[in-house]
Amino acid sequence: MGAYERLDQAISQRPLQLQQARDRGAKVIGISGLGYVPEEIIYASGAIPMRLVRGGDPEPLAAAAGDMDRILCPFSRAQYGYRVLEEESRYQMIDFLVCAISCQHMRRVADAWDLNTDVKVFRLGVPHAYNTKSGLAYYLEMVKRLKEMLETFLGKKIEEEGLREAILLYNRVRELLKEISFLRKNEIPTITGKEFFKLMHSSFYLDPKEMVEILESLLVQLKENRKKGENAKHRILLTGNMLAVGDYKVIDMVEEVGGSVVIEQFCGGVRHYLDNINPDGDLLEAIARRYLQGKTPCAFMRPSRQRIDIVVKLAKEFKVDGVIWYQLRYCDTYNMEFFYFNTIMKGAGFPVLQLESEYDVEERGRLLNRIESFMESLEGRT
Amino acid sequence: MYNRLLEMCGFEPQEIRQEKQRIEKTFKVLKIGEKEISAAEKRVEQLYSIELPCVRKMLKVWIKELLALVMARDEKEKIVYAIMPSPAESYLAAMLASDKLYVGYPDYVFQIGLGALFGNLNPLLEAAERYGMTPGGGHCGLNKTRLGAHALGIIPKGDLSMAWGIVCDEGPKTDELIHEVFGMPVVYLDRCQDDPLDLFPEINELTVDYIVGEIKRAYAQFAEVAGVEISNELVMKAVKILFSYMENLGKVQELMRSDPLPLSQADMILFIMVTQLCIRDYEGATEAVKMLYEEVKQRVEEKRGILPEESPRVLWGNHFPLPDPGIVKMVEEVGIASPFSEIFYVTIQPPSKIYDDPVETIARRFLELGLITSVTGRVRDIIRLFKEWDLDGILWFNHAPCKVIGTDSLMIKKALKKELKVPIIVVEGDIYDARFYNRQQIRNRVESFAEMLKTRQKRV
Repeated sequence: MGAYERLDQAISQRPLQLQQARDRGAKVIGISGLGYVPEEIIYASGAIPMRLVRGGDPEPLAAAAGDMDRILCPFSRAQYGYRVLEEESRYQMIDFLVCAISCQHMRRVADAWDLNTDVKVFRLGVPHAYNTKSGLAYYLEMVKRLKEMLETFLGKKIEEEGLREAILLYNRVRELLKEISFLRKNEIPTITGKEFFKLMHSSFYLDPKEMVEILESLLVQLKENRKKGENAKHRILLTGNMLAVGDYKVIDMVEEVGGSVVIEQFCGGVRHYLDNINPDGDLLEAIARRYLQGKTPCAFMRPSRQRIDIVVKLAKEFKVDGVIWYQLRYCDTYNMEFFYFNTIMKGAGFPVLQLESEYDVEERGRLLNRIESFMESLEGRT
Repeated sequence: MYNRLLEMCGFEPQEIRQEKQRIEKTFKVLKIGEKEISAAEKRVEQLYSIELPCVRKMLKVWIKELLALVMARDEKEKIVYAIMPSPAESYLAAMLASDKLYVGYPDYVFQIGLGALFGNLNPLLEAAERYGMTPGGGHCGLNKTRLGAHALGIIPKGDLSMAWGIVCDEGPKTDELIHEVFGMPVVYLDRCQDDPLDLFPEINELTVDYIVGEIKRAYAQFAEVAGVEISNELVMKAVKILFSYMENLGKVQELMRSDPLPLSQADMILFIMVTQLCIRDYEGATEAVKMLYEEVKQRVEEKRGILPEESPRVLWGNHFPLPDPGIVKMVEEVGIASPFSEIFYVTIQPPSKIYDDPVETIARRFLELGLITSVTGRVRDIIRLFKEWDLDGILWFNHAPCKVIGTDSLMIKKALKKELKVPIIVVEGDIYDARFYNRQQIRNRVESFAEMLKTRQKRV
């Protein structure tokens, strides 16, 4: 069985696997606020971490409309809306929810779950002054409280060795994702942007041990297949605030018109797998350092200029022809950041297209038109 | 050209002569000409009770603030900007550190000075929209005001912005944008908004320590830029000045319990806003608020009010719109009395205790507000106020674009309906940008709401 087939099989078997684990008494800990909740601690506790990252559909927004104001970004509304809809098993099987209070939008996700569901919520504060001593100290304290909360909830101590093993396991997942992702630096990428995103998003859902096996076998397969792919007309860097699981319309459209997303800079993109946790020394401090300071700052961090510099670096390393900025409506900090992002990228020689979505089906035609025009505009440049 | 307007706003002819140069330069920078002055005269007459000397005095305080802001580079060696929402005393302490410094809140000063008085805020809001705060993007008019002022070059570039990010994300992001585009240095203050819903009225001690550390970190950067330190004595002095003003204002607020409602909230806004930012003329403002108390007390004694007795009374959710006090007047015109707005009421309360470390007093005063801690804390405060003031309903003037106070309106409405079982109207509004709403549409809804409240009163 090839790696992709194995991946598909693992995904299809996962709901039953989870249900059986729950029947045996295992607890599922939901994670909201993708990049700032260390799932290593949850995994080490014996519970099952479940990242809630679905998006792109209009229905959950309608379902959340009675409780969450429309001015919240569609991703945050969806994180509650999927629960209300009762169509998506991963949103229904949550025994406890850990919400990273990363921005105002995600804060309301915690409120909506807390007020309207029977699921207990733990709020994990994320300092925006990420590069200060006091910011790190605060976040470290929150990480310790998360550990204590899990120990109380599960009635079981999280041992140092178990935590180290979890760190090594997740480090390995990230290393493999990075290695596979960076194969796209090649002139002829052997994995498409869409394939890579699905792969990475699967890592939010599947058991990490199984994921490592799949990634290792896929890496071998991709290395063997080198030069067997097609040369895309235009190499695109896709960036923005959040590309949710299932929200693949922009990637699809880029590929539809002959482009290829060779690298992505999102909360669930390169920011997720670029950096690892140092498994030596104080483990909780190492976790705090990686999650708060080690990873590229989001736009709500202060200051967040570092991320733009990284995008420029990635654009050069991956030899992209253009940059697509995909933002979600009402995400205030990203929307504002685009103003100077655009200037900086253009100054570095990269054409930029800004797209916005509110997970509305009617926006597809408009988005496709703009992507087509953008691709045409790149013609003369390459 | 401007004499009549300034005299309406409490200036003596001699003061106008003395300030001529500053006034003319400021008006030139702000593009305030004959037409704008004439419009402002009409606004001031319509919106404010200028028959009250205290109101005229307070209007003067605001115009002086406008002059000080625009003239800051000519008159001061260093300029440090603050942003809202933030505790005014922390910046007032910085202002008191040296008379060679300008420390102020351009957003609020323009909202009142240019918006409420001249009705001429839109050019700033539109400029901000050209500089990254795109229309329809759900951005706050307060932040747009600040960015627009920089974009139009009507305020000097600051030597430092102490960007208070303890309540919202967009405020400091605006200053980051200003930094990236205009080169203004910024120090960001931070807080995690992670209080559990059942915590309030307890305070998260971890947060207290964190905010205290953040303010001190910002003060250290301020000292590097300004060349003067903000000592504990200065902070204590600022705390005392502000809280003394608040106490005086609190006495006026108590008079608003009287029936008929003795004063329009359009007037009250001018006095309340002094508690929300640091101004230069506290002496004038304190004198004005003391006069206000006497003048309102006299109205109460004479049973004079702005509405008939037994007009329905509502709690105004959020706070009164700043650049458009006409909305407040409109609500009063349809027969609804608002003795206070939720946010202004809770934020003008002095702290429960003064601590040895005055910075800790600042942090704790902030965290004692349900509004700041959690949606349930906010609901709890609202219910308490509603019952204490024995009100008839709630008019929730939503600040729709705000991710802090505008994104919990549905949760709050649901909770209040359940707890209070009283009429609630949620109006999709904007407290910093009057372009956002259609006044006639709001009037129609508020009129229906007023009828409902009156019918309910009769039935009871």
